[in-house]
Amino acid sequence: MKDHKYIIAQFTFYDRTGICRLLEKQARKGWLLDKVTNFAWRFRRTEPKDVRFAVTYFPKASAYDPGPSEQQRELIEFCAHSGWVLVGTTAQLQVFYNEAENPVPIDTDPMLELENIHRSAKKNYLPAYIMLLLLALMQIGMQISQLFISPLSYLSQSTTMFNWLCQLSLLTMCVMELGGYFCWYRRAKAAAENGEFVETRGFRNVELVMVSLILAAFVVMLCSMQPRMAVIMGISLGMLFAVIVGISAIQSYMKRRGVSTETNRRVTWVLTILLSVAVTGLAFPIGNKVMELPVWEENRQVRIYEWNGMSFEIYNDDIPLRVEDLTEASAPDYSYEAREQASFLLHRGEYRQHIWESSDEPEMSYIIYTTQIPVIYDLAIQKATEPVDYPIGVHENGGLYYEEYIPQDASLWKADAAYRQYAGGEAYNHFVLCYENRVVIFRPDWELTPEQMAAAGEIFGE
Amino acid sequence: MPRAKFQTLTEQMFYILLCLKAECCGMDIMDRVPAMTDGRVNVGSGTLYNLLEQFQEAGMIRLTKAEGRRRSYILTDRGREVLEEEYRRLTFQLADYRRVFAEEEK
Repeated sequence: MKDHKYIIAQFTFYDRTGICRLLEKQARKGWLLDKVTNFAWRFRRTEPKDVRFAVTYFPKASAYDPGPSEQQRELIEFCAHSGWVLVGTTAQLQVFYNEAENPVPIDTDPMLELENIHRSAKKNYLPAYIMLLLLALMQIGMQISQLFISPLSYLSQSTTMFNWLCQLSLLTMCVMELGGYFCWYRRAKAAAENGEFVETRGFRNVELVMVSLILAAFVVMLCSMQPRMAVIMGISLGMLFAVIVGISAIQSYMKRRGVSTETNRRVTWVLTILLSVAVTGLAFPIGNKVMELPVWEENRQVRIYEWNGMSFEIYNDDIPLRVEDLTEASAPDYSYEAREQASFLLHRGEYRQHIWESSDEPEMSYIIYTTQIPVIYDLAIQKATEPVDYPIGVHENGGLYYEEYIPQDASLWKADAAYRQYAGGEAYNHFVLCYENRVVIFRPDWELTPEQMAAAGEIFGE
Repeated sequence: MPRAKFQTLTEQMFYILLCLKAECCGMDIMDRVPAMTDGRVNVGSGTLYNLLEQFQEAGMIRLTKAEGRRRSYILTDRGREVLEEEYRRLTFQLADYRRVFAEEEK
């Protein structure tokens, strides 16, 4: 039978009521808190006891202190005199327990207690959450700008939903913590004027659910990514995690070795900055190295084509429609290239079949958007048929002309709707074809016959 | 409206200052206050620690002795003034109470 267990230290800093309730419940189950750290709180197995816990705040303490200061020790001795035993401290927060049935509480003046909590909160808790709130708002702003700049590409990235989940969770957490704190502080201040204490409310359970959701979404995202991207993402996050754990371990080591508060603070900050820069700087070269690993190329069946002293990569990816499906052409050096990205909102596939050597053999490229969501489907059509807002040529009489997309007979393509690009009165081999849940931007380099259109439409509409 | 600091004293403040008429340390105060009030008033250890610090900052008490972490204090003239002011305030309250109820009994 195990003698120790840990719980994640995801507590709302000022939630003295909720923390005590949780610790007292654990003690009644036979688990007494015996160590407090930044990441996890450790409990040891004991006889089930009805023990009182108290969480108090010492504003002069710091997360970098090698141990309680002389002043804090004096307070701890006062507490011991009335039966309160210190279990541990983390930054300004102190946890005591008392086995007496009705001990005198450590704080008997609500105004003084409130002042201590507020001074402590202003040191780390509030600035940290304000910084996180600003970071979340900045990230959300960046996500929104990406959505407006390139909506289809953005919506088809597998990281999109994960990013939103993370940023919205972070925003919610910050709003809950900061909003909850200031609401409680206002009520507690009014009550303290009348000599009354106000219970606190934490968000531990909601936040644990959010963290679990983020982790689950992260795993889903990794599984849905291309393997090499998943490996790069995994390496980046692994490095970030290693930095956080490493810095925390160094900070704890310095505390154990009795390094002064100021030295510990400076070393921790310098290390944080240096390692963050190093990780950011290393992420790209490591990512590039991973991208170049031969294992990925083997999967893509790439080979090198030499021509006039130059090297070209020839791919043999699976692409939905090949030139050979429409014509008799079959050149040995065709490159079949597929680049796909997908979120659960939208799948975007970009395909190309071409020959590096100059040749008369037909070539083509196409992009396929697949979605089940009507709004995104409409957006895909709108973006695909949206003419660029600059002139693409000059008429003989000097007038400028613009591209436009003109509806075609969709039945030729077995499609629900079809458009063709025109500019200056000339038709181009650039089609937008709409199927039930799919929009195709199709660019063959030859004029298709009605039979070829029907054959292409058959495959696109599948 | 928030009251100015130490303009009026809470019961706990009053009894802590009262204890410090004679030199004593924090732990003595924790024992003396309930003894002095028949257990009616208790001062929490955290509250006592903070009040001693604030009284000292306000010049109402002064440190007399520090043996390790055991520090002793005594009331200053300023502290005595504040205590006397509180005594007068309470006396007026008592007098007002008696006058009101004495009139009723007549």
